[in-house]
Amino acid sequence: MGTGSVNLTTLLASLDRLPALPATAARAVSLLSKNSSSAAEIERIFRVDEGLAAATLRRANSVTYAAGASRSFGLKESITRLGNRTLMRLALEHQAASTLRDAGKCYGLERGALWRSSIGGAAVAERIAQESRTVDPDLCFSAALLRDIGKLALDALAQGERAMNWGRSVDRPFVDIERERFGADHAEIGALLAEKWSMPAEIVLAVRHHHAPPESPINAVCDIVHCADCVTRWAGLGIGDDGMCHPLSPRARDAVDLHRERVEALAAYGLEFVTTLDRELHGNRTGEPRTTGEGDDVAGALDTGTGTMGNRRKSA
Amino acid sequence: MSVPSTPLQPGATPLGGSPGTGLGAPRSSLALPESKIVVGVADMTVSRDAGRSIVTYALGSCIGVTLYDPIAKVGGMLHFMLPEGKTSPEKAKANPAMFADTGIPLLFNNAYKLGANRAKLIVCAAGGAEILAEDGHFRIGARNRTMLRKIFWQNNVLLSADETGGTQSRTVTLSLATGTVSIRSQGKESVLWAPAA
Repeated sequence: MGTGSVNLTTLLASLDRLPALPATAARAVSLLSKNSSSAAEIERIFRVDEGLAAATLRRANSVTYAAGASRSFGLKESITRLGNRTLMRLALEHQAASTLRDAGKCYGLERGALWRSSIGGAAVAERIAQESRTVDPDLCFSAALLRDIGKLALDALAQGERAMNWGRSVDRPFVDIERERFGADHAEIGALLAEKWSMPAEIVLAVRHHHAPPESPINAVCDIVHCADCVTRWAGLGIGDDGMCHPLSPRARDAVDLHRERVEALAAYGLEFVTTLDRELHGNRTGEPRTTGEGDDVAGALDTGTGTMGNRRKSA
Repeated sequence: MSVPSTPLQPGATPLGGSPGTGLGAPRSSLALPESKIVVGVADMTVSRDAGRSIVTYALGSCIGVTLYDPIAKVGGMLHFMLPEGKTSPEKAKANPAMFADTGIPLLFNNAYKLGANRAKLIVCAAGGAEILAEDGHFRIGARNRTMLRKIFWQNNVLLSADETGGTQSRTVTLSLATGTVSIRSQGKESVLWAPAA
């Protein structure tokens, strides 16, 4: 460990002081991790959250799940139809915002930036998994959504110090700097936190390796989450003091068949997903009410060409 | 790369702009109490409110383009993500600010509508960083930089100042009072362009 690093005991103790997953999500994850849970037990948790219940009904009655059905499904039937991974994804998607919205301060991220990056990466990972047809898209969504939860812990450990002061980062992976400073990087710490939250082992593994997918044995979910993280950066989401200092694994890139056209389409898709969701939740992408009156300016300017240097000419 | 033949000519039809407002794509730009207009990713705004500044946060491989007419006091900023709209034509139509080849012409045309004079425009750019150790497979930042220069070269637009490349993030601010463009990166603030004293 380098200068200023903290020991593992301190690190783990800090996890106890972190904001936990919202109660509904925590109970849902705990229950859904056990394959023995009944639909009635899950329903008891989901029905107390109106938004989560509505999302579950929407999903179960969507074309994907209800094609050919002659009637709509109630909540309990929907839970039975969707299965544990989809239900976990819905619970996390629905409830992670409150946990992630304020995270990433030590990286200089504006409020909401880490949540937008998390949800954008989740959408990209889901899309890659859907196209691959070999990995569960809901599992990839959940893993990518939680990939940066270690930054919650680094916010607490940094005690207000900005990440740009941890070490020079423009020419080496930022996780190296985190390890020197804290004895562990945000991916490792995030995996510890995911374990503490009783996440399934596949999600813990993907969080741990989202900046360095394992070479042996190769894990498809880790590869997808890693590539989705890079695509999200190209989409301009979640870029803080760590800049672009997270390399892409060439092996994972090839395994996922990530090429330029696909990256650009995925980046555009991820950003659009975030923008749409943000607008649905908050009315615009920044999550704040829009107050600008720029439209008035333009309306008054449409007829004001100067007629010089090639500008729009006034009609005589 | 295909480039619009005369995209920056004043009076040209904005590519894909919103006909209702004539603004194009400032739909999510946000006025903050401290008189900052925030431009998000794949977003743009133009204004002639000299009491405010325009800012875009944390450019990575995306590029922020600013323009400013010091006489008309009209300024604008675009934060584009990718070089060419042809990769996602529907998205380019819905949000031209996402791409260089659709966003840059719209930025200029929106500024003209506010009274900017092309000959007076001071144009700056920042961003276009690359993922660390990228082996040339994608070069998103470089392709953004190339498209920016190609469009400007074909339209006889000179960059007054730029800071692009590297791996670091950059936050860019344009003062609508003076046209000063500043960059904050790695905790350091620097002036990219400022009027002569």
